[in-house]
Amino acid sequence: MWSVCKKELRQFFSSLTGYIAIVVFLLVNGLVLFVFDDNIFAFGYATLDRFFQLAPWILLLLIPAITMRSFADEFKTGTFEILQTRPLSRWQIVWGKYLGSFIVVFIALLPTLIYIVSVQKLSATGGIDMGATIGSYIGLFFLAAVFTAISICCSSLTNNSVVAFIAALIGCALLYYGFSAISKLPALASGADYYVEMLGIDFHYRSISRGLIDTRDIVYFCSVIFLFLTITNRNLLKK
Amino acid sequence: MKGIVNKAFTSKTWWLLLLVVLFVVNFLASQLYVRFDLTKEKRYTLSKATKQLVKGLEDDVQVDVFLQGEFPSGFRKLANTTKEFLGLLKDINGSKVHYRFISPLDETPDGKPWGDTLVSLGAVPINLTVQKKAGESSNIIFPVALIKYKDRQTLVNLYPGASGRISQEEINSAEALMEYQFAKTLDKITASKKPAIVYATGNGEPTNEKVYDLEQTLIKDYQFGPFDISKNPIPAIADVLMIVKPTTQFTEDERLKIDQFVMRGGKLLCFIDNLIAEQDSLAIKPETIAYDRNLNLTDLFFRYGLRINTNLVMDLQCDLIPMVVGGTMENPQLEFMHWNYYPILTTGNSRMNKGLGYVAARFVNSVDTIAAKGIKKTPLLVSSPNSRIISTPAVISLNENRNAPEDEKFRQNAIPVAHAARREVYPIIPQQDHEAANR
Repeated sequence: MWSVCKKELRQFFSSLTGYIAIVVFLLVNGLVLFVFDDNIFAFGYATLDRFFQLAPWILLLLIPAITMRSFADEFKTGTFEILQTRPLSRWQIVWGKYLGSFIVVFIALLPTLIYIVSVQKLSATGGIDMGATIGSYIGLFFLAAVFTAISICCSSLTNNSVVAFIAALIGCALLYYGFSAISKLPALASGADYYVEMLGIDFHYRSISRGLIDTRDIVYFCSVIFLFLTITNRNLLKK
Repeated sequence: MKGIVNKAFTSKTWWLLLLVVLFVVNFLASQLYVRFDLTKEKRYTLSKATKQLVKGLEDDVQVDVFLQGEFPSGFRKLANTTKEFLGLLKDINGSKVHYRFISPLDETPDGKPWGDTLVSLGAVPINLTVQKKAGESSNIIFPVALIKYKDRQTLVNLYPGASGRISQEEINSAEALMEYQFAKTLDKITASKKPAIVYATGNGEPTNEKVYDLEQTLIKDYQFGPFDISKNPIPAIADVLMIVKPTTQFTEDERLKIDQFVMRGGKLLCFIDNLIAEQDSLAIKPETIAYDRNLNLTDLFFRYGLRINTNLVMDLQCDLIPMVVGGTMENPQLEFMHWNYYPILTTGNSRMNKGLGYVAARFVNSVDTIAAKGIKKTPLLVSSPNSRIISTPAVISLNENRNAPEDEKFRQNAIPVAHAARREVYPIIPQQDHEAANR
């Protein structure tokens, strides 16, 4: 498993892909939060809420871009046949690929910890609400993990990486925002909307972002990751 | 086991099985859950005081929550949080705390819908208009809980936000405030007697319609009444004496009465405006002079270790006022500008007003502390890190704002403008001392 993961990482960082993904993520976040109009300074409160609202949308584009090649390219170039002959189980291949992509996303998230330090230092009194911030980071961590699982799954569906990218984008958007959008339909306005919203990531992400770690939210995230990795595993079975 | 898993995995309906398994896992998790509260002020965990309050209940408490029925998911979330919160209360004292969820459309034992009863108790419903298939129907929500204890009953507002706006933030803050709302009401309903507040008059304090809001707010939780302390002695039932913005000088006799009241263990709440500095003076002419009212209270506060200065606090963290910046006399151009005499105060480190948020003030005097034996003083409200003090008599001019701002002069940090003073032990004061202090 680790050898697959290492190989993935090497692939990301020996080409520009990994670097560009990380740089773009940090650049967009930095610009929107600290440079453009309507930034944190103009807002005037020591909070990173805007970052936690913005980051899911950037990750939505970024993660499918990172993972689109992971299986699709292997199928296309035929290297998957070689991978299959290795003494690795399918689960090991899936987990290896998954962890490889997730570590890249994780590395992209790490430097944003500087935002906490800078907002903390800049605040006149009291400082940032550490509990809610840690909660939001845990939420963002799980969100990224779920996005990665969905994207990996989409990549295993096809041998065309562009198709994989678009499918993953739609899949992530649907799960992140789609369910809360559907729940707002007037047809569901009484009764079902709450349960529909609960199916989406947004509901659980917001719940954790308050600074309240609830085992229900964590179980939800883990279930979604497990579901999509199992589907990936099934897809490999067919190849 | 492994065989079964593999068989299930390779069968045709594998995805259905997987979904069912995950659904069951999530359902089980929703029944057995643990929460970790990471927030600094433990917003989502019960405080010690609430736990004690619930543990110490003498009789059964029945809580009826009216968040049952059809409504948007925001309120469903609020209902769920309420259920979880009440579950926490029941964990502490299961035999005394009972709760149920009722739809406001259900009928009370005497045949009327609950909604009517709630309105007669003073609940304000939120009207959500929801588009439904058969035309438009309005959906009325009562985000309240009815607490019954012995023969008393009272409402708890679960959605204290501005009812006109319903947003995620409002719901979140309502959830964070839930414990306070419940604890406050429980405390009130289980208390045996309402404390009495006497509102002092006779020294030019504002009365009647000017203090209507104060009266309406306090009358819910306290016995409240105005009382002329210049002519009569302070009644013995008074727990708190409130002196709000006196404008005329206090006599020796009044000061003695106030001091006697405090020495007897009464609590004194003073809102003193030491200077004549009013915003309406600036409506007539662009300048006004702030000068001492000469209230003759300095000696009194000195004994309690406090001195209200005859000065003004100016703060860069301040409120805005509309000012004429151009245009003609008939058609002036108005703009909101910072007015440093209206500081936005922050709360000190006291437990009394923790979490109060910011307090808007107008023309405030700073308060100094003086060494006084056995008296503990805590600042309640302080100015921002960018503030300054100007001494009086001072000229206050509207033009100050338009000239070059003197930001670099705002160098003082956290000037206290409100203080609490508490005597740790009540000393027996020798008669001579008392007279000397009054002389």
